[in-house]
Amino acid sequence: MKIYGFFLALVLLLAVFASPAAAEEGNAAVARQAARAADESLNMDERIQAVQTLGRSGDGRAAAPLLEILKDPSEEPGLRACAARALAKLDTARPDVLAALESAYRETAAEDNLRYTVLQTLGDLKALEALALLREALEDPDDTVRFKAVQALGELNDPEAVKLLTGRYEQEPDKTVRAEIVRALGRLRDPALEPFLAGALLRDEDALVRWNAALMLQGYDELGPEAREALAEAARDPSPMVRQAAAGGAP
Amino acid sequence: MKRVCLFIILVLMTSAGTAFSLEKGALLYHSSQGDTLYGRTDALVLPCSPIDAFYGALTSGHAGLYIGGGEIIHAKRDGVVEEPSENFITREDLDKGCRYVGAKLPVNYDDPAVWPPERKDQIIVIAREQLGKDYDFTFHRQKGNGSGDFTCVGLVEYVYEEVGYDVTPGGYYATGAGGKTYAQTYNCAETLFQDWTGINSFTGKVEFSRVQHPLTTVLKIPLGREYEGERYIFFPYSQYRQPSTVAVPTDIPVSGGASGSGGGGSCFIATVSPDRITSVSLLIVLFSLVGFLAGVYRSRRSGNGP
Repeated sequence: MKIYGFFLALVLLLAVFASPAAAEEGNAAVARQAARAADESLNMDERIQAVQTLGRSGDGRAAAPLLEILKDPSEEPGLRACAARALAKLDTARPDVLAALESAYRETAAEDNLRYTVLQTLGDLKALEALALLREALEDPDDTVRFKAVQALGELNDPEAVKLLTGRYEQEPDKTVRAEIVRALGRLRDPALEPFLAGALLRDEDALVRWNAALMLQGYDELGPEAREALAEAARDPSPMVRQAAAGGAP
Repeated sequence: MKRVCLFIILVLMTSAGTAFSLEKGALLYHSSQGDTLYGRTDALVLPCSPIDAFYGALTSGHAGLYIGGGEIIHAKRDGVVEEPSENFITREDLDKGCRYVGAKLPVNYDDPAVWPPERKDQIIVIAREQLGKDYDFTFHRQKGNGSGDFTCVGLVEYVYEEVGYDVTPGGYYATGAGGKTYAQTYNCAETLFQDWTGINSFTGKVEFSRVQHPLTTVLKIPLGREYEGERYIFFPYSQYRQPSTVAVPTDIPVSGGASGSGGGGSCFIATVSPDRITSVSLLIVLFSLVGFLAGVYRSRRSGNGP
């Protein structure tokens, strides 16, 4: 009898500890991490980790404290960048998140890496709503901003975004940005874009762009005659990388 | 006239000073605080407490990628960033004793038949595609695969693999020939102040070295990439030692930059949510208490028995 009493006491003890913890787990954890994320007296590493934990929680209640950090221009740009990514992982409060991202991007003193992160995040969110901002970013004097805008536009997989990218290609002076345009469009595997890629493969002045065009065309399951001819012609390209890719070799 | 000559010389000196000869694509390395570097030092010591690890006590060093024009791309606590090369080791990290280890380039990097300019440019394209992505705090992936999360050395390895160059052979080293293996005894809150011995390893042959840590084994909090039931981490010094790259002189500023929110380049830091540690630790304490009570009950019962 005593042994039953002992086990009953044990079960009760466990219940006393476990039940409230389980019931309050979500709320308390979010509140605790939110407090840590906002606590300026803490080491920045601890705050970054709290922000990431909020993002991984998948709990919609984490959005408010994360938005607060993202919106605050006096916060460290790195912490705000982490908040942007965490919000994208939560996939909630989309209009608020997109508005906060856009406003962070447009701040006059926005740090470069925060802007790159905003563009990356807009791409991750496939934020068609941010098309106007991405169009604007395509004209930015910073070539890395243009690069990240191209990457994000590719993620949208939208006819208007494709039009922006093909249009930008014609006037883009930076070869890495042109290469990214080719990669962003090539990743869509759209047969309608084969002529564009074939044109880049044969006519771009820079081997980096031609190489990426060949790599992207090789990623298609099936190619039309124009693309096949372009690849055959690229076998005589002066660049060894282009020739290798045109022949189907991996980089 | 003298003044004009002096001015011309000054202009020439200034312009010469900004023309760096270190090639884009160079892999940069530095040690951690106290100039320690996991794998280079004889003893492989990992911090017991996640709090110690959190503050950079995991002395793994750091790796980054020079992309030309005085800029680097590297993965640090606040994500993958592009910034001036002097931020590779911030002033704060210098004060802690972090020291520059050196720059390396692939063998035959100066051979245009193997490394034509477009292949070198592609390094920048691939690296820039990763800008704004997360740091892999739990070391699940390390090289971005699947999650998009990177550690410092994982990012560098990934970028090179994407241009068709495997800096470090893939693979997992647990123990035995081909590396160093050390037993490390932990005694801290995470082990309930009992001795707990783990075997940490380091190899310069393949990417991943096995790490046995109380966080993973006792508290079941995953730390490292899982492979055949064990956990592994890719350390910067494993990549640094590869014969696929050769040391080259560094003529770019690599230290003294201002500290940002992500600090300098302490590569491996926090690993798990403190919340999870607290709750798991509480559970362990609870079960220990229950075990203790049961023991007391049993001994009293056997003492009173017939």
